[in-house]
Amino acid sequence: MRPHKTFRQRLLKIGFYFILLIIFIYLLFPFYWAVNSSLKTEAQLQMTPATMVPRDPATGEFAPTLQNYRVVFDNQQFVRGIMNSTIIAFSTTALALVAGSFAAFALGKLRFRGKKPTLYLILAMTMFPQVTVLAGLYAVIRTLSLPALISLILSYMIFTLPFTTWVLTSFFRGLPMALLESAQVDGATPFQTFYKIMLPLTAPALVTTGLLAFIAAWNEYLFALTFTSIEPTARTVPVAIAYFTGAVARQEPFGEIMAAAVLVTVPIVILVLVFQRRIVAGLTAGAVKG
Amino acid sequence: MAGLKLNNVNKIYPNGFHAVHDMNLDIEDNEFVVFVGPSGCGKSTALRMIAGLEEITSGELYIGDRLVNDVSPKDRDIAMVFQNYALYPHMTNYENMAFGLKLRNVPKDEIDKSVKFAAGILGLEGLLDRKPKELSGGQRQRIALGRAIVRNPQVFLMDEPLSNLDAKLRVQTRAEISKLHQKLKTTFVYVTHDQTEAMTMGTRIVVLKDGYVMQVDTPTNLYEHPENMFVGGFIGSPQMNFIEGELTQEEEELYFVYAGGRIVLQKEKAAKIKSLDRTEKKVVMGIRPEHLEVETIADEKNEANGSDENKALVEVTELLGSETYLFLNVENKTVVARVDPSIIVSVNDHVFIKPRKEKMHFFDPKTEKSLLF
Repeated sequence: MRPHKTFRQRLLKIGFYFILLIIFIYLLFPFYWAVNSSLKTEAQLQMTPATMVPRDPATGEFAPTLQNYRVVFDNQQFVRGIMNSTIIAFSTTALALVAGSFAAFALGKLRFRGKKPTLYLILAMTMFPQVTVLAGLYAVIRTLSLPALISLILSYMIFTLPFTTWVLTSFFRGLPMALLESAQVDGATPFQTFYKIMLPLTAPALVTTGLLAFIAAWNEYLFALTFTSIEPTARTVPVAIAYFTGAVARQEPFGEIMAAAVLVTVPIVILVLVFQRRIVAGLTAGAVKG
Repeated sequence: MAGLKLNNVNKIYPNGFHAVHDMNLDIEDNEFVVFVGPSGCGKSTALRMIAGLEEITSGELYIGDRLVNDVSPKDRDIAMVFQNYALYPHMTNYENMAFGLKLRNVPKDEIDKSVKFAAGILGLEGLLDRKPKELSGGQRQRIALGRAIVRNPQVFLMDEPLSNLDAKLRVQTRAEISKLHQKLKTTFVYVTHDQTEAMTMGTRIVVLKDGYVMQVDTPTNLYEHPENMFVGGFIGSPQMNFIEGELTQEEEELYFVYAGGRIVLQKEKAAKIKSLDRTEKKVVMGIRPEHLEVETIADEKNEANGSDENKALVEVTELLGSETYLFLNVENKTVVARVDPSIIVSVNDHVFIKPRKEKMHFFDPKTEKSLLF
């Protein structure tokens, strides 16, 4: 029999759940507010005090509207932005995974001179604030006259590639050396060993890092804003939303912006929920020697 | 099928560690050679050099008549079984076994035939569609063996393949590997730290220590005629007893004199040692527990004798059923005797030790080399 919980223990437990609730609200309330606002009309948004759900200004009844979503979908810039973002995020992810897993295989499993310095150099790349490289990158892109889409994909590598390389390196390192040697004796070339033996075994890590790279590319704003400045058709979705204009001058289309924000967030939320098990497996893999 | 030849093979790691010293070895076709030694003796390194997983620092390695120093593992026509199986976890057992052949673009039906053949030998027919993680340790080890068999290599290399199995399974698999060797008629090179495995499986044993080959011989010869104290102590369980003493000559006989008494040497051994022209008198006498006979004090002739010569105190007795181990104190050194369980002695009894004269070994205390070689 377990002894009854003391008063103190109960109090601690209540305190624990209270803190949990606060964290929960702190994290989710902004998203809730975005959904709430996106379902309100212009008039409902002006109400003071603001209501927790869309209400009719006169009767106070629950009255949501999908008007904002309709407008957003009719907005050519937004649809275009979604397309651009999709292309850029998928390309970035694919490139980061391919290059990252090559690098990680070498860094995690092969012997060569200068391995440690290489790893630290890669890590150092992630430490530059975006703003510091922004101007230089812009000049490079102008000089090479790269299209905005390409320049965005390439510049996103700056922050996705070091990350994928690092996580995958630790994962590759955790795979037993004997597997590699066994494949070698079996007659596999290093490349065959890589894609027939090593790559399938790193699938969980690939999913995790791929997803995080995708999110980072999907949400990026600063580079996108700068590099599309003279090529508005290449604007990604975060930039497109920022450029939303109202029907009349100086009107801030708050409801539409919120609707767009919700639409942009939903695919990410779905992806994360689908892969959440794998993500946890990928993030903790290699942490403990298995 | 081919033999193996090592000519002055050395391995020096980049950090300066000299793992294998001037290894010379001639392995005939169809031999089962076991590399044995304590951990860090270079046995695995030697095997990995044969496999091509470690570079050979200097010396020559031939497989058959071909110099393979710079040949990559896949072109050496070898197959290797690893200690922790090293099966590919994402493939089925069938795919695991077929992998090597697939890489060599062997036709599908031929691969199928080879895999089925290997599975038949090893009794794995029902398990081919499963993944390695669904199998027990012993079954995984057999898949790993199967993967090697399928390749039909000239040389089988095995790196402590049994050390991850439990004791009972180890004994079973030991016999299976021996049978496999007889069936396949191929050269086997097998690495282990376990002298029992080496003795039971090998047609020849290579004893290594600190990167040096100590002795290469058949199990019987290693056991009967160890070339040095290390081999004497390493092969056989319980260990060979070593007693320090001197050799003295009285008339025609040569005696081994130690703190507890003296023992006359067998004529042939005495003649051999005399022929060595050795001035140093000090020697180490080696005697295996099974060759150390024990007489209880109650024996009439000993009682009549009244002498304390070769007397020992029983410190511990271990009854194993088929035999009894006596741990004896001979002048403050522990000596083990393996005796018949019918001999009844108890702790603190005194007994007389009588080494069998034809089984005594004599070593030089400085070089540790046998004087009988």
